[in-house]
Amino acid sequence: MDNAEAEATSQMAEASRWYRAPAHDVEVSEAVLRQREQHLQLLVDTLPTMVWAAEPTGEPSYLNKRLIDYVGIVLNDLDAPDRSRLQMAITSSVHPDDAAAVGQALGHSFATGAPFAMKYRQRRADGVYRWTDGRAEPLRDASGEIVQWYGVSFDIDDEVRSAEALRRAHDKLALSSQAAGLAELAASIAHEVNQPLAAILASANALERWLMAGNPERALQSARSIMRDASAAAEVVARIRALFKGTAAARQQHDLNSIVGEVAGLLQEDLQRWDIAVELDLGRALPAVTVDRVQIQQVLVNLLRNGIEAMEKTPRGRRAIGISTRQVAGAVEVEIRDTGSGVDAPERIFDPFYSTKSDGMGMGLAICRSIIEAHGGKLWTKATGPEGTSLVFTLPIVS
Amino acid sequence: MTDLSPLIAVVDDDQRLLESLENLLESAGYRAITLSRPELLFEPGRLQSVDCVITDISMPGIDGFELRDRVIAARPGLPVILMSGRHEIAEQIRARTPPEPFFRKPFDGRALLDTIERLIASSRA
Ligand SMILES: Nc1ncnc2c1ncn2[C@@H]1O[C@H](COP(=O)(O)OP(=O)(O)OP(=O)(O)O)[C@@H](O)[C@H]1O
Ligand SMILES: [Mg+2]
Repeated sequence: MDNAEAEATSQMAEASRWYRAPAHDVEVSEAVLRQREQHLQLLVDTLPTMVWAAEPTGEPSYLNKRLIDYVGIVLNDLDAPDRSRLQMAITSSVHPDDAAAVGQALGHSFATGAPFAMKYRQRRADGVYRWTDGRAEPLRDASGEIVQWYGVSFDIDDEVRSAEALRRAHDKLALSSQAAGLAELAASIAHEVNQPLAAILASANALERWLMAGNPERALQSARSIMRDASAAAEVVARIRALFKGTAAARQQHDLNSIVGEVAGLLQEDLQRWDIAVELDLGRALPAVTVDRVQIQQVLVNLLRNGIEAMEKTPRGRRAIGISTRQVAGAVEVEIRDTGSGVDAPERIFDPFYSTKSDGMGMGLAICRSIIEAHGGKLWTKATGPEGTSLVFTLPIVS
Repeated sequence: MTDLSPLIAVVDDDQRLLESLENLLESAGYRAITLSRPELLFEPGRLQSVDCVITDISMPGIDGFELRDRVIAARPGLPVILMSGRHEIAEQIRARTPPEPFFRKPFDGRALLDTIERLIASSRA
């Protein structure tokens, strides 16, 4: 027997391992079963994707033809005296830089039953490493026990490379620097406001002490400092407001749908990474709006980021963001929906510095609202609940 | 002159904060010197006369961390209290072990006074 033949035979033998018949099927005749297996084998080998199966413990038990051809490894190659097939499979086919992470993620899945999903570099038969999207899910019997793991992997190298090129292009855009700058901007605003607040608090404490010590002159002096520092704080706030008011000069006629498209493109990678489905419902022939394009992009980025962040605990498969645009009386309306956790305190989310996130500045929505209002529009929460949240903003149409 | 109350040096580039902290310290019976630039702390004789240093972290030139290191090198054991209005810096510092005396602005004046009292007492012990 030559190699290919041997492999074909061993694959047939493996076929029964690939397909675990559900219990109620056992009465089916041997011949029918064999036929079914062959059929399935053919199907699995013709699928335009790489497929593997593994024992509940994670030991690889089956590789389909496409996978064998791609990595140039057959199951027997994975048998080593001192190491498991799984370890061999990882060391021989995963990029050394990714091997530890892949091993860890697979180990976690096999130990807990959680689905595996990861992007890593896989070694092709010709020795070239290519980006691969690998996924695996357990098959469970009626009692919930795992009987088999099924895995697929896709070569996504071309996509990854073009996404990288796209990202580099995006980096040059003002938008991404604006979006990234938001956190720093918020941090320096916080610092600017904290400074006079600290002075006020110290003076107030001193005021109390001077009063108790019966020293009205120093108490009065403290009160004056408080007044002075409080106006300084108010001034900081006014300055921030002016900053976000934008100058009318930066405003031009724009098609809102194309701004939405750009922002959706910018966040595409995040959306994909979190398995978020995107539903765009863009109104046709919307009238142009006169806006500062970068600011409106910034608003959309913030609203979408919030939506994405709200879906952290939503099961994959149920995560979705909907963006719709439509014309209403005198304005164009944009709605952004998510299937996230819902808002806890809808009356507070537009307050500056209100955040329920450990790393949130709580400035996102406050800034969005001031940008929209500076454009003569409105931003509000349309609906929120355990099913998700919908925020809407309008921009007036000026004829 | 040993009956004089402790002398606290406050270093910050924000004049309002210097004034208010001076006021707070005096209301608690301390003497205070306010310095708007870190270098002033290292003028001849100055460091020898103080009992505690309170310094902002983000300042142009010498920052608060460097200032603390230089103070400790010159006068080991002299209490140095750091403060900052930046949340990021606050997080960095809180993650450190052993914890060092630090206040994020704005802070409670009483807590600052308590810390000063405790640090001066233990530095003299
Ligand atoms: N789509 C949403 N679903 C659920 N909660 C939301 C949503 N959008 C906003 N929130 C709530 O409103 C709060 C304020 O949002 P905001 O964007 O102003 O700040 P943040 O996202 O916490 O921080 P950042 O300044 O980084 O944007 C959030 O912390 C969150 O609790
Ligand atoms: Mg936000």
